[in-house]
Amino acid sequence: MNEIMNLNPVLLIAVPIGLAMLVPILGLMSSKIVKWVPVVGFLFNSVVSLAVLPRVLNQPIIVKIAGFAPPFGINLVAGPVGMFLAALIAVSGFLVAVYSLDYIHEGAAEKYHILFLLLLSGATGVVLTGDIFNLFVFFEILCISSYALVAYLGNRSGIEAAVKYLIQGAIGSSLLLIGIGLLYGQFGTLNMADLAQNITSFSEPSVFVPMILMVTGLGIEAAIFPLNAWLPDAHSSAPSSISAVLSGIAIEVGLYAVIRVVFTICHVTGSFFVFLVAIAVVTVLIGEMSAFGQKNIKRMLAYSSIGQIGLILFAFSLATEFGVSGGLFQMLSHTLGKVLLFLSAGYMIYRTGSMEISSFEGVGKKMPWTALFFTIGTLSIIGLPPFAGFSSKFLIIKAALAKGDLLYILLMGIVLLGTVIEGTYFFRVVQVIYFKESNNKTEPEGPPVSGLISMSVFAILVVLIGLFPNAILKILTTAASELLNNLEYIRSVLG
Amino acid sequence: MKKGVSIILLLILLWGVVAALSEMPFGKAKLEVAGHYTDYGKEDTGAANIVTSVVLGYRGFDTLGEVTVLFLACIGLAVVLSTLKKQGCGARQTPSLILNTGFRFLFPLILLFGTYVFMHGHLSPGGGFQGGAVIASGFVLMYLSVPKIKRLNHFVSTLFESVGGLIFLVIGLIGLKLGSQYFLNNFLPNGEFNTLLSAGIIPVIYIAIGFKVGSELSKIIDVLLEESE
Amino acid sequence: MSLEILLAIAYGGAFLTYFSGKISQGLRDGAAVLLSLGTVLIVSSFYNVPAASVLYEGFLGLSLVLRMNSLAWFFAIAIVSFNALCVIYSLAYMKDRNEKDYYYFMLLLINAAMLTIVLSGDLVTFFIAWEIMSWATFLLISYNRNGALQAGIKYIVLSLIGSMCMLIGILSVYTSFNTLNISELSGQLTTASAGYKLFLLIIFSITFGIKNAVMPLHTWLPDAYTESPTPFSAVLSGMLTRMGVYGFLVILFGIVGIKSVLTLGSGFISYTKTMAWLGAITIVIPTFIAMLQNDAKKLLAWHGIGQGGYMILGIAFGTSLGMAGGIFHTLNHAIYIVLLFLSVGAVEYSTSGIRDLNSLGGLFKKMPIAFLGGFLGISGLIGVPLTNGFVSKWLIYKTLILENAPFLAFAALLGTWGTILSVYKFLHNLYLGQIPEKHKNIKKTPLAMQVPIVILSFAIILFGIMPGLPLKVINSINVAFGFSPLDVNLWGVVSEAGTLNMLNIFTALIVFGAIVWGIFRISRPATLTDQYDNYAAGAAIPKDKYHYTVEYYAPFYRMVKPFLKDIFDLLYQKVARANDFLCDNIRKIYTGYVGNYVMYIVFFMAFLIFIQLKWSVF
Repeated sequence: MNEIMNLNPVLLIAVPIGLAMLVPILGLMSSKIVKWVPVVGFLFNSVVSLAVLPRVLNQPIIVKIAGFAPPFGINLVAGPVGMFLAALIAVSGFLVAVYSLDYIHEGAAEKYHILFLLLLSGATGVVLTGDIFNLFVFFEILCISSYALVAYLGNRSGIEAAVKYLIQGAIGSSLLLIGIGLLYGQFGTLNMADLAQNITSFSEPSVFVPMILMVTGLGIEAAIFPLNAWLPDAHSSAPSSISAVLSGIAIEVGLYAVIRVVFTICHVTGSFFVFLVAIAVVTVLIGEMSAFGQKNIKRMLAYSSIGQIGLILFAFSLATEFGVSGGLFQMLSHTLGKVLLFLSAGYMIYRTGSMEISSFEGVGKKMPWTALFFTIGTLSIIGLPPFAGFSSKFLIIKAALAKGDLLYILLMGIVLLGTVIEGTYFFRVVQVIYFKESNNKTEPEGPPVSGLISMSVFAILVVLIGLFPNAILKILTTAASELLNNLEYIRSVLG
Repeated sequence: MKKGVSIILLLILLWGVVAALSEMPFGKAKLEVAGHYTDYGKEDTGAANIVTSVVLGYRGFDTLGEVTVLFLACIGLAVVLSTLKKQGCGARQTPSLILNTGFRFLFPLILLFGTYVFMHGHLSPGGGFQGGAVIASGFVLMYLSVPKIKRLNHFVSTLFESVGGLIFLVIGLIGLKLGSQYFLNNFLPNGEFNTLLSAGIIPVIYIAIGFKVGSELSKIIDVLLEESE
Repeated sequence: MSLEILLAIAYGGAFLTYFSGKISQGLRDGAAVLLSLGTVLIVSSFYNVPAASVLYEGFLGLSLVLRMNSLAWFFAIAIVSFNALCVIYSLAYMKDRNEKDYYYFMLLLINAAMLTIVLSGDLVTFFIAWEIMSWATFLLISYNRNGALQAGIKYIVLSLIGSMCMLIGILSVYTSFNTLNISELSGQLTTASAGYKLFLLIIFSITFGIKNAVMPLHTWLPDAYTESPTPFSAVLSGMLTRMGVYGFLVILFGIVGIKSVLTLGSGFISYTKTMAWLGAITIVIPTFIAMLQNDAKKLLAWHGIGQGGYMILGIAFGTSLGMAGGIFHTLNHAIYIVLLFLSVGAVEYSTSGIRDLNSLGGLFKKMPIAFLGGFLGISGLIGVPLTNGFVSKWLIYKTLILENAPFLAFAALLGTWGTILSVYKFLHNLYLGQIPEKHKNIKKTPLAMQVPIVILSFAIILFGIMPGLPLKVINSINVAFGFSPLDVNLWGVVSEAGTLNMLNIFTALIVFGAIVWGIFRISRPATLTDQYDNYAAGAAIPKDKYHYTVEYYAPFYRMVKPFLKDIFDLLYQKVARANDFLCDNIRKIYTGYVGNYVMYIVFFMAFLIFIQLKWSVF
C-alpha cells in the first residue's frame, strides 16, 4: 500500500499511453486479449489515483518531468482538484472498459480500445498538467480520439456528426493555441503558475483577448452555450459506452480547463463571473428545454448533459468555496449519473434495436435490472435524495443563497426551473419504461454479466455517495481552496 | 447580410488580436524561459541543437504527447476509413519509365537521408519527426512509381509503430527508476559535446521517433490507398 | 424502542416485503400486513413519550435528527393506521393485479417516508423524506397505466416545483441561521426581519399549498386521485396530501411562531387573511365542481380539495380553537375520505372496475357493508351530528364567528351546502335507486375489504360522539405551539363561544330517533314493488333507459357549468402547451448547419472582446 501511495502521478498518463501503443502488438498475437488492456490500464489508474489522493490533500505533488524545475520544464501538479478528477476519470474509465468487454463486438474493436485508452489518458493529462501548452497537447489527444470514436459506428449520422465536431473542435483548438501563443508572447512562459504570477490584471486587452480565445476554445469542448452545437449530434452518434465517457468525462474536463484558465491563470474577479453565471443559466435553460421534446433517448441525454454543464458552470462562477466545491461535487454526480444512464440506455437500445424512447415500452419487465439502473441514474441526475445528485444540488443552491444577492437567487430560480423541466422529461421516460406494455413479445434478455457489473457498481456508487457525501466533501473543500486561492497554487509550484 | 455580419465580427476579432499584440514586447530580451534555454541548454541536455534540447529535453513530455497525437491520427483515420464502403476510383495510370527508374535510384537515398536526419537530430537541424517524414516520402514515391502495388507489410509497420512509441515511454520510465527519479530523466551520460554519441537519451528517442513517424506516415498513405482501390 | 428502529422497520419492511414477494405471494401479503400492523403498535407505544435521537451526524455538515412529540405522534399514528388499513384492503382489492410486489413495496416505502417527515426534527431530514415520498408517489400513481401516466406527470411536475421552492426556503434559512434544527430555529427566527419571514412563509406556502392542493395549486389532485389504484387513492387523500397541513403547522407555528405570523402584513392585507381567503375559495369552488363529476373517485377527489380548505381556514387564524379545528379536521377528513374511497373501491371491485356514477345504482342490498361505509362517510363529510366531521366543522365555524369573519363563515357554509348536494348524488347513484340489470349478480365484497370499512365506520361514530379522545392529543399540540389549552372533556369542548357536548346531542338524537321510529312503526307499512312494475302509457319499459341516476342534477348542471370551469387547470395546460412549443423552437437554435455553429462561436468571442475593448466592462 505504501508503495502504491508513493508512486509518481505521471504514471497515470504514461501507463495508459504505453498500453495503447502496446495494443497493436498484442493484437498481432491474439485478438481476444486486446479488450482486457483498457480494463487493466484503468484498474491500475484507479488504484494509484485513489491511493495517492489522500496524500495530495495536505500538499500537492509537483512532478517535474525530466527534472527541470518550473517554469523551464514541464511539470504536473497533482493537487486535490487534479487528483480528484483523475481518480474520477480512472474509476469511470475502468467501469466503462468492463462494460465495453461485451458491448463492443463489431467494427475495429482493437482500434476502439486504443482510442478509448488515449481518450482517457488525454483527459487525465489535461487535469494533471501544470503547463498550458502541455494542456493543449493532451487536449488534442482528448479531442482527436473523440472525433474518431464518434465516427466509430461508421453510419452516415456518425460520420456527419464527427465531421461537424471536427470542424468546431479544430476551430476551438486553434483558438486555444492562438490564445496560448499570445500569452507566451506577452510573458515568455508557458507554466501556468508562472503565468499566473505574471498576470496582474485580467482586464487589460493583452490578457483579456488571449483569455477569451482560450475560454472560447476550451468552452467548445466544455459545451458552454453558444459553443455547444456539436454536442447533441456527436454524443448521440457514438457507441453508448463512448457517449457515456464523452458526456460524463470529456466535457467536464473541458470545463475544468476553462475554470483553470479563469481561476488560476487569469485570476478573474468581479463582473466577469456575473457574465459566466448568466451564460451558465442560459446553458441550463437551453439544454433542458431542448431535451424536453426529444424522442431520441441519446439525444435527450446529450441535451441534458448541456443542462448539467450549465449547472456546474453556474456553481463555479459563484466563485465561493461552497460554489466551487458544489460544482466539483456536481461534476462527480453528473459523471456517475450520466454514465450510468448512457450505459443502461446502451443495452436498452441494443435489445430493442431503436433509439426512440417509445420503443422502450415494456423494457422494465424484460430487462428489470437495466431499467432499475436507468431509474436510479434518472433520480440522481434530477437531484432527488437519497442519491448523489441531491448532495451536489444542495451545495450549489446553498452557495448561491450564501451570496446573499437577489440577482443570484433569481438566477438560481431559473436554474431550478430547468431542473423541473429535466424532471419532467426524465420521468416521462421512466413511465415509458415501466408503465407501458410493449406489443411485440420478444424474449426477455438482460445485458451480459460485464455490463451488469459495471452498471451496478455505478448505481451503488450513486447511492453510497448520496448517503455518505461527507467523505467526498472533505476532498472537495481542499480542492475548492486550491482553485480559489491562486497564490497558494503559485507558491506550491514555484516554491 | 450574413457576409457583412461575418466581416464585422472578424474585424472585431482582428481588433482584439491587434490590441493584444500591440503590447507584446517584440525585440526585447524579456523572455526569461527562452533565455534560459539558450544559455543553459547545452549544459542541461548536452544537445548541440538548441531546438532539440527544447523539444526532447525541456519539453520532452509534449513531444510524447505529439507522438501520441500522430499515432492517434493514424488510428483515427483507419477507423473512419475502414467503416466507409469501398468505392473504386477508375483505372490506375501505369507509371512512366522515368518515374520507375528514378524511384529505384532515389529510394535508398531517401531512406538513408531520412535516417541521417533523425540520427543527427541532436546535432543538426532536423530530428525524428522530420526524418520520419522524409522516409515516408520515399514510400509515397514507391506507391506512385511501382506498376503493381506492393502493400506495406502490416506486421512490420505495426511493429515499428508500436515499438517506436514504447521505446520512448520505456526510456521515460527507466528515467523514473534510475538516478534522480524523474520521468524522462536523462539517465545516460551526456558524452562528448557535438558528437554522434552525445546528449544521453535524446538520440535514442529520436531514432525511435524516426522509425515510428516513418512507419506511421507511410501507413496513413497506405490506408488512403487501400481506400481508393 | 428508539425512533431509528421504528424507521428501520418501516423502510426495511418495504424491502422485506418486496423480496419476500419473490419467494411467495402469501409470504409477501403476510409480511406486508404484519409489518404495517407492527409499525402501528410501535408508534402507539410512543403515546405521550417524547423522544429524540440523532439519525445521522454530519450529513453535508448538518446532523439529521428525529424527534417525537405530540404533533408528530398525532400524525404518525394516523399515517401508520391508515396505511395498515389500506394494506389489508389491498389484499383483496389487488388480488388479480400484476406486479403486486412493486405495489406493496411502494406503498410501504411511501408510508415510511411519510413517517420520516413527521418524525424529522430538522428540515433536511424533512426535505429528504419529502422527496422520497414525492417520487415514490409518482411511481405508484403511474401504476395503473393509460390515463395514470398523464396524471403522474402532472403530479410530479407540480411536486418538483414545490420541492424546489422548499429547497430554496430551507437553504436560505440555513445560510441565515446556520442551523436547520426545527426547535433551534423557532428561537432564532424571532430576530429576523418581517420581510424575510414573509418571504419564507410564501415560499413554503407554495410547497405545502401544492401538496395540500390549495387553490390555485390544486390542479394535480383530481387526476392523481382518480387514476391511482383505489387503496392508494385512499392513502393519497387521507394522509399524503395532508402532509401539506403538517408542513404548514411546522413552518407557521413550529418555526416562524404564531406571534410573528399574526403580525405579518398591514391593514386589510395580511398573510393570515390571505391564507384564510385562499382556504375559503378552496372550499367553495371545488365542492361545486365535485357536484358535476360523474366519476365516483373524481367526485371524492374534488371534495378532497374542498375539505383541505377547511383545514387551512382553521389553522390560518392562529387561535387555539381554530388550530384544534384544523388539526382535528385533518384527522376526520382522513377517516371519512379513506372510508369513502374504500367504499368506492369495493364497488369497483365488485363491478370489475366501473365507477361511473351514470351506470351504477341500487347496490345497497348487494353490498351492505360498502353502503354502510359510504353512508357514514358522506355523513362525516357533510358534518352530520354524531359523526366526526361535525365536531371539527363546529370548531372551525366557532373560530370564524369569534374572529368576526362572516364572509368566510358564509363561504364555509356554502361549501357544506354544496357538499350535501354532491355527496347525496354520490350515495344515491352508487347504492340507492334502481340496480342496472347487468349488476344483479356481482361479486361479493371480500372480508379483507369489509374489515377496514367497518373499522373506519366505527371510528367516525366514535370520534363523533367522543371527540375528547383525539382532542386531548390536539390540545397538547396546541400547548406545544404556545396556544392556550382548550377546555376539553371526553364528550366535547367548552369554550367562550359556546359549549359542545356530544353526549347531550347524542341523547337528544336518540330520543328524537326513537320518536320518529315510533311514528313510522304505527303508520301503514310501505309495500314493495318490482322496479319494472310500472305504468308507461301501455308501452313496455326498456330495461336500462329509465335509470334515473343518469344526469343527476341536469338542470343545475347546465346552469352552473359555465361558471365552474377549472380555469386554473386550463391555465396550467396552456402553460404546458406553451412550454412544449417553446422547447420545440428553442431546439431550432441547433440548425444542423455547421456554418451557423461557427458563427455562434465567432459571435461569442467578438461580443466579449468588443464590449471589453470598447467599454471595459470587466
